Amino acid sequence: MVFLWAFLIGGLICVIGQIMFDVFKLSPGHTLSTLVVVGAILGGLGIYDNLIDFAGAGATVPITSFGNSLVGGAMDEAEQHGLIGVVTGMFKMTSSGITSAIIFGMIGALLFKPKG
Amino acid sequence: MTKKNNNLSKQQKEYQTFEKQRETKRPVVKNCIKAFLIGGSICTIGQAISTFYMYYFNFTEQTVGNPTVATLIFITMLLTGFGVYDHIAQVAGAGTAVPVTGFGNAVISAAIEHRTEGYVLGVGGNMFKLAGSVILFGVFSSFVIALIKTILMQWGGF
Amino acid sequence: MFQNKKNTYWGVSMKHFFIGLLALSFSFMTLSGCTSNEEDNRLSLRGPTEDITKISNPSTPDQSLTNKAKELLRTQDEVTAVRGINIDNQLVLAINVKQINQFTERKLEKKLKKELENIYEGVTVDVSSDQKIFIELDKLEKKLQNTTYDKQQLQKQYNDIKNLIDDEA
Repeated sequence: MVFLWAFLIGGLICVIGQIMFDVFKLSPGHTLSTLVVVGAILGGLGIYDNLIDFAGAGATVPITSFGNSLVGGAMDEAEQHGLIGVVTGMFKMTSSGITSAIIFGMIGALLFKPKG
Repeated sequence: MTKKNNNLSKQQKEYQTFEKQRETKRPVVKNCIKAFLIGGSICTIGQAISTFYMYYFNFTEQTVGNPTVATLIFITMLLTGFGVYDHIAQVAGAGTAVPVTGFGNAVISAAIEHRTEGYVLGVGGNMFKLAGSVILFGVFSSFVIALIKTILMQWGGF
Repeated sequence: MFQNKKNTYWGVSMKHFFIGLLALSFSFMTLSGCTSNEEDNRLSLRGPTEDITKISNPSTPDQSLTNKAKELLRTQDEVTAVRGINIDNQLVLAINVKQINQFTERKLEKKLKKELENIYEGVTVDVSSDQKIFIELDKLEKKLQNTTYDKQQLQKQYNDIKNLIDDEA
């Protein structure tokens, strides 16, 4: 069941992105940045975690979950250490995405040849 | 003087209508369907990866997102390196750009492309062309939201 | 010339790749959908009380507390399956909820935990709706049916699962 909803919710978020591409004529940079901010807002409201429970990877794979993880990490740390936790805890839960992008980017640059 | 201004603006208006006629029309509905199918497929593959990690490793529902994202970016590296990713992205549009594969591809393809300029200046200097704006706005908006939430909680005596 | 270039993008190999990718993901969906249905059918065929497994191996520490708690959780509409173990005064349970209720599953698990804590005073209760905890407790229960666990081993198992729950919190 969770596979079906992962497909539907993930597809829905991509359709929202496609509408931003085609109808509002935004560039990929604009679209992704907007989606991250939306994810952060929904994470702040506490809605995005419930969506992850419901749709599984349909909510954790799109870039919106990045914004949710940033807020989640900041809030977790802030609850323990006060206001400074907002700064120290930001990348706690998102380190996986950024680190792997950097590492595999470097490995890619080492291994692969640029295609014309 | 006013006659000249009117002529210019008329020409500008004519050019704009001319431009709109010549602009490539985007089949919005078709693109949305393609984005839905391919984006949903990527998320379904992500769900399969998540389930695999939950069964065979010690990840809970909350923490399984981390290895899933790392695995997807690894797959993106292979697809980008072998030149396949661009073809899929051409078809899918936002279907591949919105999931984390789009983020990974932006970083990895920039790294591969600029290798010829050297690792420090080429790869290092150009890797974060797209990722930079995502990280910037993500972090800044999260900072504001977390700040507001923390202050509200402390005032509300939660 | 331009026409030819367009064809290579939409060439046969790319179409096949696209179709293959879709087929792969649809088959994932249907396969896992099939497996989960199978489990449900099997459970319902075994009778309405069988989706709560009863551990009755006489040599392992007594699980009657768990069995009673499971009966209570079973009465909730949203809960579809329960697994759990207890050792002395420590009880840990995992629930599966209906898909539509998964939006509010975290609230539900807190509510159930409070209810159980009120009923069984002095018992440390943990209720989790996390899929991983359910998988682990399911594995553990199956093992308990067949092999004996002494107090120490069961305590270790309990500690491992408790760590997983605390980790995610």
